[in-house]
Amino acid sequence: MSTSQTKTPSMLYEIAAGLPIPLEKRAYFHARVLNSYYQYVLQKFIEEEQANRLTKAELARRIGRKPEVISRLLGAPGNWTLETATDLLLGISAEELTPASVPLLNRAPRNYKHSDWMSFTQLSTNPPTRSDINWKVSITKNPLELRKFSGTGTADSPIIEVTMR
Amino acid sequence: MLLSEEVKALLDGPWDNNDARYRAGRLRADLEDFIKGANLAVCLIPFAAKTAYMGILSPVTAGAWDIRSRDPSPALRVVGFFAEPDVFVGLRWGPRSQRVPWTTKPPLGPRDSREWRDIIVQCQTDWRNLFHTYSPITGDNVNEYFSDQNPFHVV
Repeated sequence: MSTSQTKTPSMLYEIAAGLPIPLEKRAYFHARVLNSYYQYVLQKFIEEEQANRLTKAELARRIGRKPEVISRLLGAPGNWTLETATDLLLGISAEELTPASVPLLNRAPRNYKHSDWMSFTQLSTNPPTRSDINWKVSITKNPLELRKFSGTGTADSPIIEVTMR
Repeated sequence: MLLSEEVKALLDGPWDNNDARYRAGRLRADLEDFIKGANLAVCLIPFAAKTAYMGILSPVTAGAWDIRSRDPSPALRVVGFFAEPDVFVGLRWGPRSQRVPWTTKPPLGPRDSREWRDIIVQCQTDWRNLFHTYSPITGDNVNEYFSDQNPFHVV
C-alpha cells in the first residue's frame, strides 16, 4: 500500500486567504446554517413533546398553521425562513432567536486520526465497527484504495476535508 | 459514513455549471448531518414520510436506505446500506423525480420504477465488490440500524 499522502486544499482555504468564496462552499454553509436552525428548533419541540407539554396540534393552534404544515416543517428544514424559525420557537418554547456567530478560522483542529482498521486488508473484508469510529466520513473507491475525510472544525461543528492515503 | 467514489465525485466536482456546483454544496451539508449527531427523522415504511431524512427502500428485506437531500430542487437521493449501526455506506446517487441537465443519470421516479430497482441492484453489486461476504444490515428493526448513541426519531 502506498504510504504517500496528498492533502486537498482546506474547506476554508479561500475564506482564510480572502479569495472569492466558491459557490459550492457558500451553498454548503447555507445548508449547514439552515440545518442547524432546524435541529435547534426540532430539539426544542422534542423536549416539550416528551414532557407532555406540547403537541403538534397545539403548536399549530398557537401559530396559526394547519397541523399537517407543522408536521412538514418539523420533518425537514425545506424552505424554512427566519420567519418560520421565529414562529416555531415562539410557539414551542416562548423564546426568540438571537444573533450569534462563531469564527470559522483558527479553530482547534479535530482529531479524526484513523484507527487500525483503516488498512485495506481489513477494510476489504470487514467494514468498520462502532468501536473503531474515531473518524467521521470516509470514501472508498475499492478495497485497495482508501480516501478518508478528516475534520478541522470544532467538536460541535465539523468541517470536512479530504485526505488521501 | 463511508461514501463511494461516485458520490465523492458529485461532492468534489468538477461540475459542469453553477447549478451542479450549488447542489453539491448543499448535499455535502445534508450528508454531514448524519455524522454531526443531528436528530434524524427516519422512516421504515418505503417511500412514506416524505419529510424524513432517511428512509428504508423497498424491498425492506434488502436493507437499502436512501438519504434525502431535497433542497434546492432537484432533490437528490444517496442510496446505500448500513455496515453497522450508525455506519452508513453511501454507494450511489440519483435525482429523485425530474431530469437534471447537469447529469446523465435518469430520475429515480415513482416507487415502482425500473430506476429504483436498478440503483438498489447496483448498490448491492458495489457492496459485494467492496465487502465481499460481509453482509449489510437488513430487516425492519430500526435499532439494528441506529444505536442509542445517536438521536433519531421514527416518522
